[in-house]
Amino acid sequence: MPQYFAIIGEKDNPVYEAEFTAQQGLSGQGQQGFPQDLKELNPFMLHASLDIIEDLQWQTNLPAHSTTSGTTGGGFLRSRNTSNLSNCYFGKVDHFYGLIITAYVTYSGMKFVMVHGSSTATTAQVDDNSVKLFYQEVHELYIKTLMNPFYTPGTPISSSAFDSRVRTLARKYLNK
Amino acid sequence: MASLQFSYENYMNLVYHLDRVNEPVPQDISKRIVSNAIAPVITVMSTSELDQHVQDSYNIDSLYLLMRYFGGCISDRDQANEYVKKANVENTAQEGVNDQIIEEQRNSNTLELPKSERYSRSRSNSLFQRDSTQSHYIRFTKPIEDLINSRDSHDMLFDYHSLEVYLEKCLSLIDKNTNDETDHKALKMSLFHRFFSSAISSTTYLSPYESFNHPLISLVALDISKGQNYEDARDLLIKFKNQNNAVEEFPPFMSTNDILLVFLLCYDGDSEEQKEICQDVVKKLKKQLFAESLMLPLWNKSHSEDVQVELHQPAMSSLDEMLYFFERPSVHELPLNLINTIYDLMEKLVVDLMIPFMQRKISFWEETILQPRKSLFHGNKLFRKFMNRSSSQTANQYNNIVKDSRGNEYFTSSSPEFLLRKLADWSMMISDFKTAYSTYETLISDLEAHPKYLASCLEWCAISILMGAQNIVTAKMIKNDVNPLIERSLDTYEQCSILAQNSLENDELLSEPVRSYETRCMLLTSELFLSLNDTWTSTPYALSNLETILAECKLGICSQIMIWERLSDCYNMRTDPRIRHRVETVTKIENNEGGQQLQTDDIVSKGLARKRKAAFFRLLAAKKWAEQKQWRQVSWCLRDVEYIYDDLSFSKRPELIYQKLKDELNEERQGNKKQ
Amino acid sequence: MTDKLILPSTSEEQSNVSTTGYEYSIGPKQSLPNEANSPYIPSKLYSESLVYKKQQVALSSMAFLFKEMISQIYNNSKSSSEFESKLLNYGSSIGLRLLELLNIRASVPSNTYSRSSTFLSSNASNPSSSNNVNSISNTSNPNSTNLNDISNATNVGINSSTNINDKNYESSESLASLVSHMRCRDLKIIDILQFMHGTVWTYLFGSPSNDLVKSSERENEYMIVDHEHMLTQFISNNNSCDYFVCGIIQGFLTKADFPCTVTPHSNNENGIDGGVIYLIKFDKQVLERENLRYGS
Repeated sequence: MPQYFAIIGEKDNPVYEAEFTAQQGLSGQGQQGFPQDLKELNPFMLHASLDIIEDLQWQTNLPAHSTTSGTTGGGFLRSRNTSNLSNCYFGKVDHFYGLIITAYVTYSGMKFVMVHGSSTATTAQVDDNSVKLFYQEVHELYIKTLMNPFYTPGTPISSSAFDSRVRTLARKYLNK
Repeated sequence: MASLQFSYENYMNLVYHLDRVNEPVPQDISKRIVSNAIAPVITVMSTSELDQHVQDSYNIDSLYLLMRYFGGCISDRDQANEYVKKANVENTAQEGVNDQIIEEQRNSNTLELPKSERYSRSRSNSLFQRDSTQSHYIRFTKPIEDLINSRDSHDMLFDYHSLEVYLEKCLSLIDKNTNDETDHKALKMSLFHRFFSSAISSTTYLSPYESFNHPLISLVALDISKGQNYEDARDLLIKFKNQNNAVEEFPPFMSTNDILLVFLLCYDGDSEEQKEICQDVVKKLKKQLFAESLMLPLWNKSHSEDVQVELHQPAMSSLDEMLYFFERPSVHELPLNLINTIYDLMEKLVVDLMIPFMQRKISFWEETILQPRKSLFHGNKLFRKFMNRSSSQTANQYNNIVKDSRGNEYFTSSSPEFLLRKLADWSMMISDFKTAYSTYETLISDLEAHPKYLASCLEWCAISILMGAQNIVTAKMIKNDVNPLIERSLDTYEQCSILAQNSLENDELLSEPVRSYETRCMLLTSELFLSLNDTWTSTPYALSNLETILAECKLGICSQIMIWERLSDCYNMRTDPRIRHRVETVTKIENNEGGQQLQTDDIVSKGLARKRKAAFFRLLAAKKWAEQKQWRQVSWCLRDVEYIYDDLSFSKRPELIYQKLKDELNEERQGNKKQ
Repeated sequence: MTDKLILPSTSEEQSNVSTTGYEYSIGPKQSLPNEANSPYIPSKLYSESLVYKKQQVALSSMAFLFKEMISQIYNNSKSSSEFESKLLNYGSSIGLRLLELLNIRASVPSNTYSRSSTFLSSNASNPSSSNNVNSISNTSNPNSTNLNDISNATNVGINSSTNINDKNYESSESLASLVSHMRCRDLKIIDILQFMHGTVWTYLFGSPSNDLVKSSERENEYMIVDHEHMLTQFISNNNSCDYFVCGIIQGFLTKADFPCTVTPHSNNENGIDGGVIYLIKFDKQVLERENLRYGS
């Protein structure tokens, strides 16, 4: 189950991107990434979901992102009856042919978005709880980046320390 | 250009009217297409003498092939508008070698013509007419016998192979006559709607489950100038009336009683004597056979001196015919006077004969079938349900069902079920959507046991709401009334296809026919959803229908890409009505400044439109077009998304699809130049 | 444009890195097969916890720094409006950082860390803002690199135990793992202003602002009243230097998608120093959005 993760800035510009793949076996062999045709499409797919994210961003009652909402329904027809304590994590916002897109928005409106691929032909599965924790921890890392006075907000985060930490989180939460 | 109104026909045949690609297209265009697609069908039967005479004088094979040019919205008189083109032929002075391009040139010259010459009278314009009852659409079809003989072995609505072939032909025509810089917005819409109209309507196919394609008028034509007279007319009438019994394959669900027979007496306008004979025959037919007739001076000396007008293909035609004429492009010309005479005659036929006939039948059926049913139960649903299940009802139904040679069960033409269906269908035709809706609704409970009938009935019940109450359809109505109907209809269609599959094991062909109904239902409803005012609420339903088509229905690859593009259009239309004016002004600013600046700073409209999503689907379509080597389409798609993607830095990465396609397109274009 | 002369976020650890971070022009990198075993990249920045630590700076030092910044800008400005806008920009770069930092701190359940609110009663200082102020003077001073050297040195010392660090990662460094629900993003004007008036002010100056007032005349105007005006209390009779705090407010609100302009006004009555009033003028669009989204 590969993932394509990106932090998107104000002007739809990627501030950070990464692709995570599951580590299978001890030596990490047999990992599965996205097929080529999806690789060239992923950033656009993610970009397409920004409209929906911006819509959800300003809703007081976010749709419940429990697993019951499922992958059917198609993002926008879900019922909105549960008000959440938190409105940073949006859960599944969009889907595209078995791929699921989840999103998270920080206080300054940075969008964390992820395309969840599937290893088989079946629809991708998303464990909301761990995805949420992943986002939260990346959020914290992002804030730490921000605390660096030499970092200009909105520019690409090229720190390898950041990169390696995000990847560690991905291993911990997404590809156990 | 502005003086000549952009008509419905212009839009549907926009490929041939490339000078008009900048014209605005009304949002509810699909409503008009549906009106045309379910327009009353007129079957044209003519004697072989007459056909020969037509062939000799106008080089058209039969009277039917002549009449079919006059289908569509009759008050628009669009064939007469072709006169403008004709007048410029002398300028170009070329024989029709590459007629498309010449036509294009002619079109661009329209401005030079003095305005006054064009019209003999003021015309309506069906494209922008608010009230659909104002414009009457008609369709012509071949003689009944041909219709019956061409009935397919399986009940297929349209054949996706032909659809695909047709689409490819259209695409190559567009490719030939345009360039990458052509303003393509309306053209693409028009192409889609051509595709749409071909998928939802096919005039030659007689469905047992609905009556839209059943002929409503039979035009029986005689050639008075060749000496045909009352006796011939009477023989033809008898033959027509006896078809029910005499023709072996005559479908049990059709009845000549419900077809209005009208004689068309063709004569030579120069001859007073012939005219008198005609008038005589008209009287006699009326008195002795109670048959209506019309007189058409099909020949006239002055015709040869009159301007000749090149005819264009009608906006709505059966797929087979369209393909046929694509393969054998032939130029037919008629004198302008004759064209106007025929239009006058058609108006007379529709207004004086057809509409009253329909209204008579409708009120008769209402009184004899619908009313007794309603008054008996006083709308008490519980009681009605009980009664419907009672044995007498079922027994009755069995009397009205016949089996054909293949074991298919049909309601006969005289069964109350089918008559009610007809009542509803005809109400649709004359735009009485309220009656149509209530009749369909009554019928639903009667058809529980007949899924094939039920599915179609549910479908049209939903359509009658969408067609009729466009501006008052609310989100709640869609959710509680319209969409459940559609879903139930689709479920029922699916049930039918499963049943068909089970009955004849592993014969995959047999599940297709019903699939074509399913596809139509989804296409039709999604288009009607899009024509609603509040597109924010309605587009999700259209989207889910279109996505289901892509996922489940068998369609050719180009047809699929058409749907992909339509998905993009849907997302483009998904704009919250409250911010629509804002988004529109934003796009206007873009246009003025060369499409460079996208104003992203409007925090109010953030998230209330789906432009980026639309761009994504357009990009996907571009990718698919590229796979099909349809480079014109690729370049247009890429142009459509420029304003979204060009400002994005990541889009320029060479390994990503956007840049890849751009490079491929450039390569292709360069390669062409070198050759 | 940020060019490659200084790689902003890598400035800390250029030396001991074998793997490289995200490269914008290349795009996403796939995870490596043996990624899990790759050496841990130490970073002072990322191993530091975001939890508030009581580190006080004397007000006089703070005032001295502030003065340095002011005179620096003053010498480089041709007009008073240029001076004010430059000062505003400095402030806003702090404000937008506070937006993220203070919100995540507010998300941590209070029983996990005792977040005493007794800090900064009279001393205006905090790690972040002082850091920023430092950095501003640093950029103009070539000698300042030693600051980084020091942090690198400390990192090298920790290097041997990094793998253990990795395992204890969450407990030692991460606030987010303690948070079950992140604090709600503020969506309405009144909510975010209250956060500003309470949490932000407490963080900056030790106590909530004296008052938060809505203008009775104009719908899009709000005022924060501050009697203390800690930073500028030693500067008399001129509001220009208050643009620094205005910048903080403006940066904070604008970054949270509440675009506005903030101006300082003195609250002097009868010659008595009544502090400063920060006038917040929201863009019309903010009100329109509020109407559209939450209006009845």
